[in-house]
Amino acid sequence: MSMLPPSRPPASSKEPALSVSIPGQRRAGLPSPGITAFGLTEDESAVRTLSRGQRWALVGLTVVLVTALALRPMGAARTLVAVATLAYLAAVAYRLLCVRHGTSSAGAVQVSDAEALALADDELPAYTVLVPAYREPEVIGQLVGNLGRIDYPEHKLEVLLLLEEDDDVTRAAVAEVALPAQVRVLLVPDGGVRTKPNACNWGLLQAGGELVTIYDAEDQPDPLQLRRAAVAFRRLPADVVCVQARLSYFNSGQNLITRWFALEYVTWFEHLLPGLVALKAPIPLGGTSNHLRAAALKGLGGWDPYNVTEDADLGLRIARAGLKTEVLASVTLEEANSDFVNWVKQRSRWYKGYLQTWIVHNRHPLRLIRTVGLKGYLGFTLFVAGTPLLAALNPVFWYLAIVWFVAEPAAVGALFPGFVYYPAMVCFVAGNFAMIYAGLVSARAAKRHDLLLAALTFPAYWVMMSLAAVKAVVQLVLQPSYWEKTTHGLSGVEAASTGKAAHV
Amino acid sequence: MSETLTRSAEDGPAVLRRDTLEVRRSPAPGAEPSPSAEPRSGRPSRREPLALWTAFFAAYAGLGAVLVLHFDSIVLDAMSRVANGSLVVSSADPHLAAVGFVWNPLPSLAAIPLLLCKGVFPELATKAFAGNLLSAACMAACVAVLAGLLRDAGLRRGSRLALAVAFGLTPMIAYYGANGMSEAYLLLAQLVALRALLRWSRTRHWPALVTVGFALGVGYLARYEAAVSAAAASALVAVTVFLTAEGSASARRRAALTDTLLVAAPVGFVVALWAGLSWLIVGEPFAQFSSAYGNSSQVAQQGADAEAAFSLDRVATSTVQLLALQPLLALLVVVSLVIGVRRRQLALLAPSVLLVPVLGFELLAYLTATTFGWLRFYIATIPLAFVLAGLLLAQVRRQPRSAEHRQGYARPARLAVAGLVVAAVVAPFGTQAMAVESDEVAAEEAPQFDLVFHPETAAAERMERRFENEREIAAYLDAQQLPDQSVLVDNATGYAIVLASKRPHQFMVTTDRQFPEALRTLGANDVQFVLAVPNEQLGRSNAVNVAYPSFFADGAGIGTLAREWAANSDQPAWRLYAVK
Repeated sequence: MSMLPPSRPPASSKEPALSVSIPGQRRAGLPSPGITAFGLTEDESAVRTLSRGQRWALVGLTVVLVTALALRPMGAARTLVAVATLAYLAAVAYRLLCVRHGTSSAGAVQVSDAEALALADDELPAYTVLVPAYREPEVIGQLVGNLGRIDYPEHKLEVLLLLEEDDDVTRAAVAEVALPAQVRVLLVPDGGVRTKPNACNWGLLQAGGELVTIYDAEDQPDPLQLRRAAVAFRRLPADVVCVQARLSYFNSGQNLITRWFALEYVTWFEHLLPGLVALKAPIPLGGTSNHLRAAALKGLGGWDPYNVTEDADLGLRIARAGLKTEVLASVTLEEANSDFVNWVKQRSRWYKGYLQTWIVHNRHPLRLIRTVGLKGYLGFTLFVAGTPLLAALNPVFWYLAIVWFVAEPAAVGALFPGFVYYPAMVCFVAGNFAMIYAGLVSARAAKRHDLLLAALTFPAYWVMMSLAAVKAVVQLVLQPSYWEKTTHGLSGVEAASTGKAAHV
Repeated sequence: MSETLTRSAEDGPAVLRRDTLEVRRSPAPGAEPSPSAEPRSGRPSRREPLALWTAFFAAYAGLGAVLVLHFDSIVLDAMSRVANGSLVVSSADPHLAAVGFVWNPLPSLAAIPLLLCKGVFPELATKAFAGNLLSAACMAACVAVLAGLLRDAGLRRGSRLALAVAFGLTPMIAYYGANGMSEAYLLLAQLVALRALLRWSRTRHWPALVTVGFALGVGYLARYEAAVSAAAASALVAVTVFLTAEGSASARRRAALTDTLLVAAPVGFVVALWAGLSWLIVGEPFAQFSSAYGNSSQVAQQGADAEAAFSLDRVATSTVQLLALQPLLALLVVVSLVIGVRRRQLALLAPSVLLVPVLGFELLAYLTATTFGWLRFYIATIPLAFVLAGLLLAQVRRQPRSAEHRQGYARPARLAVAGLVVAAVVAPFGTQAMAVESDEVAAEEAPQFDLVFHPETAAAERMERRFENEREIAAYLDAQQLPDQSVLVDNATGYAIVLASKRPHQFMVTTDRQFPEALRTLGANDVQFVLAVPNEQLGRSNAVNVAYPSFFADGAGIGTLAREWAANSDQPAWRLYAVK
């Protein structure tokens, strides 16, 4: 009977849309062996979903399960229900633990305006901003305006606009505007995988900056964000290789979906992310506005071009290498997905990417536990695998709960012996309330009183998440590499800077 | 959760200003509010509350042990709560819903872990001593929380300890700490909520509202009155935030709604949960009010001689009771409200706002003849008076000599307030001691005190015999070595028998899921005996009497009389009928 608010979504990005199957072959032109130019091995990549060992493990598990269901159907079903209940309880507990640590820990790295502006131009490191875009001619104007607001010395800043070779529409749009001097257009050669992480790797290969970050074309970063990140990196120890800025939405008031989405981000960045940092758990990065030390990023192998949430995967690789991620108190405004179908597609890709990430990093579970610790591993599993799997499982338990309340069939009762029934009931009733209340608390903490209705109606959003999760799980089996296209420009909100002449 | 949430300080999270794309952030999380915002004296330490709790727990538990184990002074309601908890674990059909829905479940559920130790210490169950330990723990916590609340208010160590200790020693507080009743749970919830509400009143530290909501939500699981406090607290928050927030009217309305929900949501959730469960399982969402076993029904059943609603007698009784608990309460409330309004200090209004409505609710329920005129229903007057006394003391003490003259209090005013505080602390010792001697004012407490102090009176002798029959019945049945579920009894009247029995599985009790069927087919099933009480007063709601009105008198054609125990105390006569 336990149903849980499917948890917080991956803070991932809106990639350049693309809906092609990714061929297995390597892209020509990458100089060194491995999946990326930076030596990412096949073992570390989602190029193949399951490794040989994992395939055998899955086969073995299936055999055990089928045998058990055949020989002792009730016993096996009860065991499954008990395991699911335990997972739900653990997920709720871990989430509340995160909120607790998130509210009491030091939280984000603070760099005041004065501190950010105090650094002389010569003291600032060279910075590369990667802006991947694919078939998004309408956002090029916004990009120019958004870049114009960034406060960073011209000779220290390099913006690489990454376009696919065959993307005629965007290339045409770029040709029509006067790009600021520090923007370079890079054409990602055609002929291999065509994903955002692949484009970013191409950009990284030519990047001259000491620090690197990614923005989407329509992102509106805090103008001082690069300076804040640079100051933060100077201040933080060398093993902090990534600072993640907070993401928020400029169109959160557009409709209920965008309000839910905004509330989800508020919860994520106000409570859960600081909580994960405090708990020293691996942090799945958000798709944009993560600022990285370029050398460390190259040393880690760059982004996995085959993972549909390459950001989450990179966060994990950072933790596995014994390196750290911190949260930066600076906000980037993005466009929230406002359309139901479009939202489900985007979310299902995130969930699929989360599962890919969990699978990739579980090829050597013992080695992983040794590097991130058992607590970190459990946190990683609960967040990265638990989020999509429990969301996908929710409809089953919702159904059982409804059937139980309506008709109390003996078969459902038999699935829940006392020691499972009471925890499941507590989880179902108190867990759901706790999650709604946590949303309310997060909205209050962020002084986002406009998200009140979203907080109170959050369960409807969980239903949407479940839809996306089911789709993600099915797709992971049938089309592991299929990249769901996310449509942008649905906000109807005129970005403040659209069409403004560029000057830097 | 609530505790941790309140720990985070006024760390305004990053606030994004759309117009400037600027991020503003107030001081780092974890930073305490400035001292001027929240006066504290002495360093926060865990030693003081822990020492207070330990000392008072030992004192209350000791007093409880003397009352229960030595004098057999057992309070009916306290025992029935423990009995409900016992049904969950040691009955022939153990299940959680057996805790029952007429009375809120927390005192019963909390007793369960202690009841598991009854093998070592049988009196935990047979004399319901588990309840006494729990009320002692809660009331001792009240003392510790009150001391903390007074420290938050800026009272120095000497005066806050004096007030807290005096509170803990007040006769009614000490007695209700020792006697196993649920009053201690309610007072604890209210004091925790009040402390957080005062913190919010002074600093607008919003996470404190989470504590208010959760404290009263948990409190509701012990007593319905917590919902009244929650409604009052919600109203206070709503009005205050709406009047003081920044922005347009709609922005202020939203801000007020959010903060109000922080308080109201946990309580609303618990109310809905409890009502929903009750409705699903027994078919009545608010069984205490609607059930045949509930208060209103009890009043109706016992109330042949009851006064009409709003009679002069009722007004007089409740007035005397309120005065007996704290003769100076009205004065304290008025003075604090006047100073609070004149000096614009919300903290001076908050205690009255939270607790006066509870007194009003109890008063109204009694005046309209829907509940009993028990003294304990007004017990909130005691903490209210002590909190107000403490806050007023902090008021007149706060201004140092050098402070701006306009802000300070004239010497006569300070002396008057100090005098009021001392009188308010001392007076209840006298008035409460007098009240518990009077059957009119303290109808429940007076017989218990007679038992201890006037054992020769008829009333005391009746009290001493309370549950004597029940223990004898239990021993008699235990000796028969009967099979499981072979003795049918309504545990609302027979809880003392079931609790006293060493073989509780032999009973078929109301909460067993097989009970309705067993009662319907009495004589044609495995039930061998039925325990019956006269079909009068509270016995009219007894399930056996409801199904077979003449059962006690003649066995209703099913049973043959096996044994009889005549009434010798305030408990009913019992007859044991064989039905097979």
